[in-house]
Amino acid sequence: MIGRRDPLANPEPLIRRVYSYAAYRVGPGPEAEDITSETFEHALRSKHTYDASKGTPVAWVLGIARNCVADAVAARLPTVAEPPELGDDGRLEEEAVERITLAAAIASLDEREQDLIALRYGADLTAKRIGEALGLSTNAVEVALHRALGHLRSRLDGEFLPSPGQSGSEIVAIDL
Amino acid sequence: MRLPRFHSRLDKQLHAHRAEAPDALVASVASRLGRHSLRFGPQARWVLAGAFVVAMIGASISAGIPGPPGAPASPDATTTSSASTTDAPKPPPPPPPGGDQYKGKCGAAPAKKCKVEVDPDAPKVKEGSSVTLTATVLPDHTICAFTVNWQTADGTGKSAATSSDGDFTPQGGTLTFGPGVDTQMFTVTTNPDARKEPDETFFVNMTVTPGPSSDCAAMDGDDNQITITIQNNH
Repeated sequence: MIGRRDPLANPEPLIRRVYSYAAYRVGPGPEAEDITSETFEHALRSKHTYDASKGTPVAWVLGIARNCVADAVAARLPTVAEPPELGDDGRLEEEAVERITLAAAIASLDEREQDLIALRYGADLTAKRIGEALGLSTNAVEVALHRALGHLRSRLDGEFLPSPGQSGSEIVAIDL
Repeated sequence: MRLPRFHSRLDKQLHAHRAEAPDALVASVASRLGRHSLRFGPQARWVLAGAFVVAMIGASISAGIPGPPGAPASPDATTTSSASTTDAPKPPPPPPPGGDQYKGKCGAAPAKKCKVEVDPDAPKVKEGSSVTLTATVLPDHTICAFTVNWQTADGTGKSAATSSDGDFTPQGGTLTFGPGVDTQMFTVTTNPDARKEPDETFFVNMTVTPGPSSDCAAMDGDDNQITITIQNNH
């Protein structure tokens, strides 16, 4: 094995991250589960090529997951989004609308930005780890992610988030 | 990284949007990984093949059959060697010490052929459906990055470029392999039609594009042309 280390030695956290990443890209459910299974089938077959000096197991396995997601997205037939099931509970209804609005806004971003956001918030990777998975510098990831969030924010503007003007240009830290 | 405050709520929402993996899925995949780790992977196959050859040579020597060291001394051993796709069993390349372990080797290595296997190797697909093919490059050919181009070509089934009622649209793409990436998938789609006709075939041709840092000159083996059978629906 090139990597001199089994990248799948501790699979459970990897499986959880891959599923969360896939769910972010294609929505939670059977398709994300299939992508997760497929990712690890491929990972198992190619684990002898893993090279620890090139990145962490999570970055490596998410590199495989990205290909699986891309194939799944490419193979998809156009679908019509189902309207949310609205219940009597006002809060549930509001949350459902928020989730759907957010999902739609993410889906309206370009592939690369969707991928970045899914890696950051789905796989819960730091900018450094995202850089490993994408072959980018940490700084480049931070800039691209910042831009993606800006685009996402503009898509959501007027939906349910406060506008940028409400909080001015005050800066807060977001741990990446 | 610091972001304007108006992102902070968005940041929370994005975190909350994360879906957790069902425990049953985690258990199922982890279980499969545990089971499959006992299967013979490519590395184990090399070791077993090497051990077999060594055992054969040892048996020949003990039987008093002369032969140069390392050379198969019996017809059986020769057959074994040629059966492993012309490659004598050999250990994986030793990891060079430290740094970018592939630096230098990529440019310095003589051009060689790369073994890429496509699975399934004789796919069948219904008219109007698609088939996903998996291309896997053998371990010792993933030292340097290289790309494989695939392109459909006419057989008895014709593309829309050469026939008004083409059985498929010309398709192609590029698969990139390298350290950590030895498997790529691609999908080929066929066109539907309403005719009753016999099954038809067309091809996917695979060619390597050697790059400046690639030590792969061409594809080896018989997977450089895949025959896809289109099964008639009617």
